[in-house]
Order: sequence, then structure tokens, then C-alpha cells
Amino acid sequence: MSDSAELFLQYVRPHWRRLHAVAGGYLAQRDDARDLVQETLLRAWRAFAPTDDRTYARGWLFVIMRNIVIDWQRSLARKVRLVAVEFDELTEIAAADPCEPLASLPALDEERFRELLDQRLVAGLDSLEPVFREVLLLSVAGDLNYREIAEALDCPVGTVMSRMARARRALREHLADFARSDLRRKEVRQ
Amino acid sequence: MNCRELREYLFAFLDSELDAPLSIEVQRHLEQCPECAREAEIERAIRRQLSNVLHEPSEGRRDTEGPDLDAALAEITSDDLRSSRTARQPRRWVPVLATAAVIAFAVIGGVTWNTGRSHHGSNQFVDLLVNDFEHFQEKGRPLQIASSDPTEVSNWLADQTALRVALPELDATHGKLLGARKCKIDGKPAAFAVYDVGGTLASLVVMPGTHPDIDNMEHVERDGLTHWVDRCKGHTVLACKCKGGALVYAAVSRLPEERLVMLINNVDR
Repeated sequence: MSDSAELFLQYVRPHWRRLHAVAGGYLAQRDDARDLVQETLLRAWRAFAPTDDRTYARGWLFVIMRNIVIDWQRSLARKVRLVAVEFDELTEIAAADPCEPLASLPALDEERFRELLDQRLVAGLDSLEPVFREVLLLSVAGDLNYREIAEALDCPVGTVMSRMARARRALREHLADFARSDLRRKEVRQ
Repeated sequence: MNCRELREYLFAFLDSELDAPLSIEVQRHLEQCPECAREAEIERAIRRQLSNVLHEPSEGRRDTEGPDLDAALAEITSDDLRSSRTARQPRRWVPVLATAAVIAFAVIGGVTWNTGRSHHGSNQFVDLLVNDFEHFQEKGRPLQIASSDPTEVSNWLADQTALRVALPELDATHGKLLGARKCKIDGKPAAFAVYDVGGTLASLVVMPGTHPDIDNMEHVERDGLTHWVDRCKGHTVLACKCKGGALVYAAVSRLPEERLVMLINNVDR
């Protein structure tokens, strides 16, 4: 293996599993997600030219991946489940008051709370608008910090912070709604 | 810090995104306020489960475990002509990349071409040959067989690709063979050999059958032999059809066209 390939391997290895996790969030089909990782690797390898004064940021691979997703959306090449909206196409909606109380969950014991998460978290995630789902995906599956996400989305860090808070609030509201209606259903049955 | 202020910072705190003084304030409030501490604990639990869900390699859309990294990298850096995959195997590689490459090459090439012949930016065959040759030079991809003996290398390629390759032997004063590797074009086994011609590298790709884009190159009759010529990014691409159309030999280099003709005219047709 050439020195360049060895350096590339060292750079990619820590991100390998996270790349697959994020690709699985962007694309509906398993094969497409694998293709996305492979294509990301290919583009990264083509551009990879390490020098003493050039290092590659952790988020670089995710920037490449996201650009591919945007390309695929435009060309309708693959079934993209999470639309990656380019920042300059967005009109940011004024954020809700960040100090508002969070949606309150009914009192649940630990076991029932775990059940709630098991049953509804995926649905809650899927119910989020793409811009909110994407920041969660990059943060949780990609393990990127706000600055790295901002680079990937090509938007200010403040925008990431605002979207992240709104995403988590929306997720919480989804869980709270379901928990309340579930409780009501159980009360009716009794 | 009061409860209202805490809510503004809670998510950033849980994501470890607050600076130290603010983080300490949030931590202090959580230690003193059971209500907010409960909220924080709920959010931590949601985050943990979210992480499980998004990393879970189980059924359906989350089953995204890919090949192991070494295998994937070996595939990219060693096995194939990369451009041919992007252009011809859309299930595994992205067609849009090939399109982007064609556009990029057309733009760059438009600046650097300096002869009457022009590359029209839509010849995938020329693009993939030039692209792979450049990549070979830039990345130093290893040859799988390093030998200056054309017979030895041809035999090795025949074993590896089932192609009856006959690499030309150059006069020592003109240049020498450095070695070869196998590759694929359109999914078919092909050969990629490298020559040193007076200090300038040239690749010689041998592929079975033909390629539709060859006929879009300029057709040149010279000394009773037919060549197809094109230029891209300062490289000359020279192809000939051999063995009654069973094989195509295509050379790529920054060498002047007549030097490449010398290389390709030594091919056993």
C-alpha cells in the first residue's frame, strides 16, 4: 500500500462506522447507504493530498457525503429519505422562545419510559422536518460538534444550535403527545 | 441561573457545547433544582436511545454495515479503473460523479489544450483513461508486477485477465516498461501497463472488444495504420484496435503525439 493510501486509511478508520450510521439516516435503502459510504470514500480519496501543513478536519468526510446526497436528490439517482436542504435555499423560521418549558411527559416509571422510547422514538425522529432531523443525525450518529455540523451544512453555528434545540423540543413533544394519548387509551379500557 | 435560563442552555449543555463558566452555572443549577435535574435526565435518556437507534445495524434501513474499511479502500485504490466504475456501474458508483468529472475535465482541458484537436468533454473513454493515469501518477498506486520484460508482464496479465496481451518492447534508447496491474473497464478485466519513455510516463491500457466512445475520437490514418486520437487535460490519448477488433490498446501520456505513435506502433496488431 502506498504511503498516501496508508495515511488515508488512518484518517478514515475512526470515522468508518459513523459514516455508515449517517448514511443509513440519509438513504432509505441499505444498498444505497452502502453506495453512499463508498462514494464518499472514493471522492475523499480522490481529493486526499496530505501535506505537512494540510490536515483534514473530522467533519470533512461528512461534508463530502452531504454533497453527494444533494447531488443524488437533484438527479433523483437514489431514494433519499432525508432531504438535505442547502442553507441558501432555506428561510429560517423565527425560533420559538428557547426558554419555554419543555413538553411535559406524564409521570412514568422507568420501565414505561423505556417502553415509550422503544416504541416511539423512531416515529418521532421520522416526524421531524428534515432540517431538524439532519442536525440530530449529524450530532448523534456522526458525533460531530456544532461547529463541525455548521461546516457540513455551510451555515452559522448559531443556526445549528437553534435547530438542535428545536429538534429536541419537537421530539419531546412527539413523545409527550403519544404518552398522554396512550394513558388516555388505557384509562378508557379500564 | 434560574429555571427559565437553564432551559435556554440545557441542550447545548448536554451536547457539551457550552463554555466552562456557563457549563458550571448549569451544573450548579441542576444540582440544586430537582425539576430541572429530572428534565435533564429525561433528555439524556432520549439522547442515549437516539444514539442506539441511529447506530443500530439491525433490520431495514438501519442495516448499513458496510464492508470492512481495508477491503473498501483496497477496492478503491487497487482493483479498478475508478472512473470506469463511476461511469458504468451506477448501482455501486454514482453516475453524477462521472458527469461532474466530465464537466470538470472539459473546463480544465479547455484552458490547457493547445492544439487543433479538441476534446468535447463528453468522451467517457478518454476521461477515464486520463483520469486514471493522473491518479496513478499523483497517488503512486503500486504496480502489481514490476518488470521491464514485456513477455513476463504479458504472461502475468494473461493469467490475471485472460487477455492475450502482447506488450510492446521498446528500444532501450526510447524507453522501457516499468510494470503493470490488472484493472476493469465496464466491468471487464483489462490491463494497465506503465512505460517510462525518456523520463516521461505513459500508460498503455489493453481492453477486450471496443468502447463506443473510441469512434468519437479523431480518426487518423498514418503509415497505413489507423489510430484514434484525442486530448484531455494536456494529455494525449492514442488508441488502436487490434486482433480484428478483439482488443483495444490505448496509450496516455504528456508525450508528444509522435512519441506515443512510436509506442503504439510497436503493438502486435
